[in-house]
Parts: sequence; structure tokens; C-alpha cells
Amino acid sequence: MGSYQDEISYITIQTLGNASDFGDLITAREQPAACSDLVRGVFYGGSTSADIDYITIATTGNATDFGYNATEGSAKGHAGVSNNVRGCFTGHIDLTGIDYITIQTTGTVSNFGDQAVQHDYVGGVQGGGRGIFGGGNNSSNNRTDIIDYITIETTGNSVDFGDMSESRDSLAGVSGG
Amino acid sequence: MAWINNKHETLSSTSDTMDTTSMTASDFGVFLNHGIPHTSQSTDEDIQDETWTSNGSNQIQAGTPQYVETVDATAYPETSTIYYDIGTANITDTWTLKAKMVISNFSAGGHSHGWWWHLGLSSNTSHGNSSHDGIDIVIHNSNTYQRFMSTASNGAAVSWGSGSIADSNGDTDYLDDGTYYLTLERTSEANYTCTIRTGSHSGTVLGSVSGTNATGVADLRYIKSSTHKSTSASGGGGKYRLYDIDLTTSVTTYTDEKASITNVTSNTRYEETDTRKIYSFNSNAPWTSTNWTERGDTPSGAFRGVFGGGSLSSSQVNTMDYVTISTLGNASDFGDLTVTRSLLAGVFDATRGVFCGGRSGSTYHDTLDYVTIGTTGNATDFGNNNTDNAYMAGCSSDVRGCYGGGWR
Repeated sequence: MGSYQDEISYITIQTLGNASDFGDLITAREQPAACSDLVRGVFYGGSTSADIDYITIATTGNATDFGYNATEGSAKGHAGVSNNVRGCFTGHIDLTGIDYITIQTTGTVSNFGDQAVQHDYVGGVQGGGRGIFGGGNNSSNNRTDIIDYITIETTGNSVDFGDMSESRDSLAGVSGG
Repeated sequence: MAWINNKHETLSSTSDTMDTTSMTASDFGVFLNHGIPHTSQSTDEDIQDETWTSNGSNQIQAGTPQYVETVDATAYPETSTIYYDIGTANITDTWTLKAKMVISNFSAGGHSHGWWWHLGLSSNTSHGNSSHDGIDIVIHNSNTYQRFMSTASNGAAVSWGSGSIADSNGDTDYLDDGTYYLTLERTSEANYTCTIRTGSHSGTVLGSVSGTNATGVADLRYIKSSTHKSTSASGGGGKYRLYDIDLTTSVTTYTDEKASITNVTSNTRYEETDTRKIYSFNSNAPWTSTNWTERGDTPSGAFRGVFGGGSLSSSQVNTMDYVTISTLGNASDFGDLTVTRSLLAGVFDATRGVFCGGRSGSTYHDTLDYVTIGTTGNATDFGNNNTDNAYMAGCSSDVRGCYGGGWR
């Protein structure tokens, strides 16, 4: 029987090697979402917790309370994206809402908009002010190839972007160029 | 972080300069400034060993190791105060006050009107119920209510943080004797949080109380412990002994990285990733300080996003596909992960993405594999996670990737 984990690990991205211990989340949980502004990293919700906590990425240590996801509660299956100022989260199981936070401002979660088409257990990628959510499960609980996007600076509903190469859920995203 | 073609160097403070001495003119290309705040932190530890001022025998500084103690919280109400003068009246940025508290001889109050004990930062040395600016951890004790709470005071107005914290013994209205670890953190001008733990400052959290009403609370010069009570209060008691009193203050400054870059040649291009503004260095006298001219905005979305792993209806995949973020359209094949899995996390910098952990069937993975985001191809082994773990989430800086939570 497994258990929920509170461990935070870290790697130096340009240096191959094993992970090191960073500290602990305030609440052990699975399937949080996360985003950062390159200084502060925020872990958002999860299966057993509506807590939001944050770390200062350049240091090590335990996470600090950021606030509480009163909008979605202990949601899971979501993904986080950011424009280095604002963090947006969506893909909460069975929900279409998109939430956002200002990463350097603790305490407040606000409604951003809704997904164009419901999909949870999504992956998220970001860049140039745009956040993109791909894959997941649709409202019939079937895997989907949906990709939709938001303009992170501007609240509103997501818009269709295109299709994944195959319908799948529980994926991860990385972004760069 | 500044980028010079594919070279990069982290600038960690406003006084930091980029070492460009080993680079040639051809190296000078694009600097990326994230325009983000830099926070400098300092901690004053073991403040209980400094000189505190008490207004009577109920609040004392004594012992080896030294402690600050409220001898009996109900015996000397209204006028009982002990404080430490921080020496500056302008702690308006974020700060964290920590202490280890040993409670003994605690008994519940005998009346519905109770008494209060305070520890916090204050603008003056008066007792906790007086007019002052302050943010406090509070213990309230009446015949029906014995809890940790928190409060912010802005002059005459006093507002309470949401909720309260009791001990963990199940008798939810009684605060038992024992050792508690207190953290009072001001996280922004408006927000503060009081967290009570047992065992250590990283131990079991009994609870947290947060307030969002500290805007305008300023001039916090004193660390102050005090008591007061309602006029009808009676009975009850408690001795509160504070050890290991630490105050960490953080000052946030916003660094204009280009102002700190020296030794750059004319026409060096500089991009701010938060504002997307482009500047060029137009000095006719190379190797001098900054002289930047704005040259418009960078195009939005010259980035690629790579989706990795996942689950089909009954199996996991090693698929990676990518999108060009600025261009609507379908995803294209990128390559394969080293290990088939779903429920993985991703971290990344400007060029490299790393996929962390995950699960396939009943097997959990410690796999870390990476891709060069700008170049399609299969992932390569990066290293190993500390444990086999899945259901995590990741966040990144330009240097470090962090991932946490999960299930295993």
C-alpha cells in the first residue's frame, strides 16, 4: 500500500546526475500542479489537499504556505503554466475551470475562465505569454487528443489549438526553444 | 540569468557583473532579463539572549539557556509586557518570527470572558490590547475556548485571522501543557500566517491561521510578549516560556540586470523576457557601464512545448510530441522517452527539458531523462530520483528544477 508524499527533490538542469533532497511540502499529497516565475515555485492543490505552498527555487528548505484553493478544493489531475508573473491551473478532475494566481502574491486564487472543452489529467506547456494544455480525459472519461491554449496575461476561456498525436492522459510538459 | 548565445551566467545581485573577459565579440548576442525581484534575507537568531525590557516581575528573561517567560498569564493582566527593541522602525517588508514555546501549569479560564497572551512584532511597547500597529500570535483562554489565534492591528483597529488552532489531543477546546513551535510570517503587506507545530519547526503542523488584513501595519520595531484580559475574566492560568526566538527579515529589490552588465560591446542585444522589450547597447565607448536604447518588442512565442509520456486506455506510452507555441496546429512527433510511463513530472530551462519519475502499471520509476527542446530526438538518461515516485509536479528556474509531492 502506497502513501502520499511530501518530498521535494531538485536537479540542476544543465548538469546530469541524481536528484537531491530540497525539503518537504507542507502537506503530503499526490497530483499537485506546479508553476514558477523562475524564482518562486508554487505547488497547487492535489488529491488530498487544497493547500497551495511555495518554495524559493534557488534555496533549499521546506515549503511555505501560499494560500488555499477555495475555488476547486482538493482538486487533482491539473497542470500549471505561467508567464513568470501569473500562474494558471486547469485540468482539475471533472472540472472545466481555469484558476490563476500572482506568483509573488500569496493568498489569492482567482477565476481565469473555462476550458473550451472539458479535459482533465492534462499536460501543460508555456512560452511567449501563452499556456497550452494537451491531452487528458474528456467529460465522458475517455482519453482525448484536445489541445487548447490561453493567453496568460488576459483572463478568459481557452481556445482550441490543435490535436495531440494520440489521445492520452497523465502526461507531462516541458517548454523552451 | 543572462544568455550570450549558448553561454549563460547568473547575476545574483544588483552589484553582480557579468564576466565577459573570456568572450569575443561574436559571443555577444542576446541577454535575457527576467525582470524579477531579488530577495535578500537576514536572520537575527537567539534573540532571547539579547537585552529585553520588562515592566514587572510577571514577564522575565532568565535561565540557562536563556528564555523569555510569562510567569503567570493571568496574574498580572493589562500591564504585563516584555519586549526587545529591534532598533529599526521600518520592518515593512516580509518577515518571519519563530520561537519554541513551552507551556506549563495551563488551566482553562473560569469565565466566558477570557484573557489573552500575545507574541509578535509591534510599533510600541504597550500591552497587546493597547492601540498599536502589530501582528501577533495570540492565545485566548476562557472557560469555553483555549486556542492559538492571530491578529493584526492597524492603529486602533484590530482584526483577527481566520480560524484558530487547538492542540492535537482530541479535546479540541483545551490547550495542553507541552512544547509548541510557533511561526508567525508576514508574506506580503496584507497577508500573514501563524503556524503552530509540534516536534520541531518542520514537525507536525497543528494548524495555521491566516489573515489578509495587515495592509498599513507598519513601523514594527519591537518583538513583544504581553498579556491582557477582559474585566469579567476569572480563573485559569499558564506559564509561557519562549526559547530560540529568531527573526528573519526579507528585503525585495527589483534588479535591472542590464544596468549591472559591464564589458559589453556596442550593439549588444538585450531582451527582457517579462516585458519582451529589446534594448541595444549603443555606447561608443566599449567597456563602460550601461547605455541601453529600447528597440521594440520581441515576437511572442518563439518557443516549443514538448508533451511526454501518458496513458492510453490500458497501457502507458513513451511518446513525446511537440507544438510550436506561437503557431496553432497539431502536435508532431518529437521522439521517445527512455522509459514508458505516465504520471510523470516535467522541469525545464530554456534549452533542456527533464521528465521525472512516473508509473507504468504497478511499477514506479526513479527515472530522470531529458531532451534538448529545440531538437527532436529520443530522450537521454539524466540520472535518478531519490526514490521511485509518481504523481508529482515540477517547477523550474533557469538553473534548477524542483519536483514534489506524489504517491509511491
